[in-house]
Amino acid sequence: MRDVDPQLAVKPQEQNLGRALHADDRLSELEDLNARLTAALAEKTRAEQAQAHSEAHFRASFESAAVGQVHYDPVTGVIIRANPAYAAMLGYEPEELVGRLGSDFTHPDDKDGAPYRSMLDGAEGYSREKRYVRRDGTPVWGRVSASLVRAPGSNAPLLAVAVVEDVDEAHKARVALELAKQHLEVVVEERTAALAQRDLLLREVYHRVKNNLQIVDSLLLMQGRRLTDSDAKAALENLRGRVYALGLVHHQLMGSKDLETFDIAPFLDELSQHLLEGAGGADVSLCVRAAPLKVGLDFAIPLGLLVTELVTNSMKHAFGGGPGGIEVTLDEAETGHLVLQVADNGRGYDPAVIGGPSPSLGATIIEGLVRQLRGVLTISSDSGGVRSLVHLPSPVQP
Amino acid sequence: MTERLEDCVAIVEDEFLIAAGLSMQLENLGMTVCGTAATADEAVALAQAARPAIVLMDVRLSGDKDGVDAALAIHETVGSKVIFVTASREPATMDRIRLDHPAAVLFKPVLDWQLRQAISAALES
Repeated sequence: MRDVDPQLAVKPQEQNLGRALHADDRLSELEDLNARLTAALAEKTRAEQAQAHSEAHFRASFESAAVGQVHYDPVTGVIIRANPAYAAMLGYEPEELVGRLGSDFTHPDDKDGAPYRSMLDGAEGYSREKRYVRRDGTPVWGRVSASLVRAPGSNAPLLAVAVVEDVDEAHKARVALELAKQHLEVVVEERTAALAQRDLLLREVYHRVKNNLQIVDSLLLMQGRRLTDSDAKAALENLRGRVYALGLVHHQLMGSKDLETFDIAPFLDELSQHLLEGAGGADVSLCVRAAPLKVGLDFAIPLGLLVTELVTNSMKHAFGGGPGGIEVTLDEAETGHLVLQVADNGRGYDPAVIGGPSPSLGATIIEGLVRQLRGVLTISSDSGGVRSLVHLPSPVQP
Repeated sequence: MTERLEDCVAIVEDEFLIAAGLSMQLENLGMTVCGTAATADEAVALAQAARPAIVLMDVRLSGDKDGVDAALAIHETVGSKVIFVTASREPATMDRIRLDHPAAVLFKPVLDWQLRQAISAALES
């Protein structure tokens, strides 16, 4: 702001002429001059006040800003002023930082002068995350945004300005998150490998079980050959059928995705089909209908053996070598309950007395398996055939 | 391969009891067993010597070659129909078996009627 306008100054020649002028004119001129002088003074005061106000405003915002602010000499990098937020982030008082090199507070591993140099060469301001070093030597992550103030005409750098945000918490959280993620990935990888290993072992076990059942089958066959008694031979043949049912359960398990459960329907179908074929050319038709039901080993083995006994009974006793039909169904009667039915349209027989006065092996097995399955067996036999109904609770899903 | 094959079955199985059982099953079906082999090399040698119409082939054998190796060699040099008899149905084994385009695949334990069906189907084709 310049001093008072020179036009307002009282000129010497006017003073000399003063006497010649009228006193009134002179007075008016002076009053006018005075008014202009007062107005100019007021204007000057206002401008000075505005500047002071603006400086106070700047200082207040610099001092009280929540983010760190720091001004450097753009050439030497020496700190000219730093605000309390910046100083506090580093564990200093602001005045302790003035005169120090800004780069002294950057972590040695994160020093990189390139962005600043390219800004000096004319590039835009830059922003990056880096570690600072606190007074106590500990690192703290900050996000710095730097810019240059340049002289209006010469464009020479006047001041380097940095705004530094403390992002230590966010950074630690990010690092922790990354670590947690890596840890989880390792865990998932280990679990996946463990599962693959378990699948491999289970398949191996099922393989061996089936191989061993084949050996059992061979032993039964070899023993059967040495027997002359036809009842004994037939008994061994029946055992082979039961062994096959066990093998079939493992066969289903081996083909299942989780190696633990499989659908009972195709299993019952295959099992019954085998029983029919095993009976050898009899003119008996078979119908298997089962609701889709996921089952495990614990349920499938007793159920498979039960169906084996019931169907075998019908094959043997219902038709006397003639034609006939057998129906096997498994339905969900109500939630949590199943009904297994094996029915034939043969001449009817009393299952309790098969094999003579003492219960047959088949009858004993049927009774025991129904009990194991916590079921209730009802058998009705008349001229229309024999119908075995087993009410049993649904298996608990493995 | 135009030479006539013998009306008999060779069994390739490294478990003695299983081989013996299969042998009896075949005899019960009225078939002749022309020999058993426990390794892939023995199997090829047996097939070349006996020229069986049918070979029952286990997949896992003692030694470093498996049943599929033996089956491929037998197909090439003798032309017998190969029926695989395996305890495994895992995908890797099944993929391996399919390399040979087998006449049939039976799963242990194998029943008489399954054996009978597979053999008559193989002989007819």
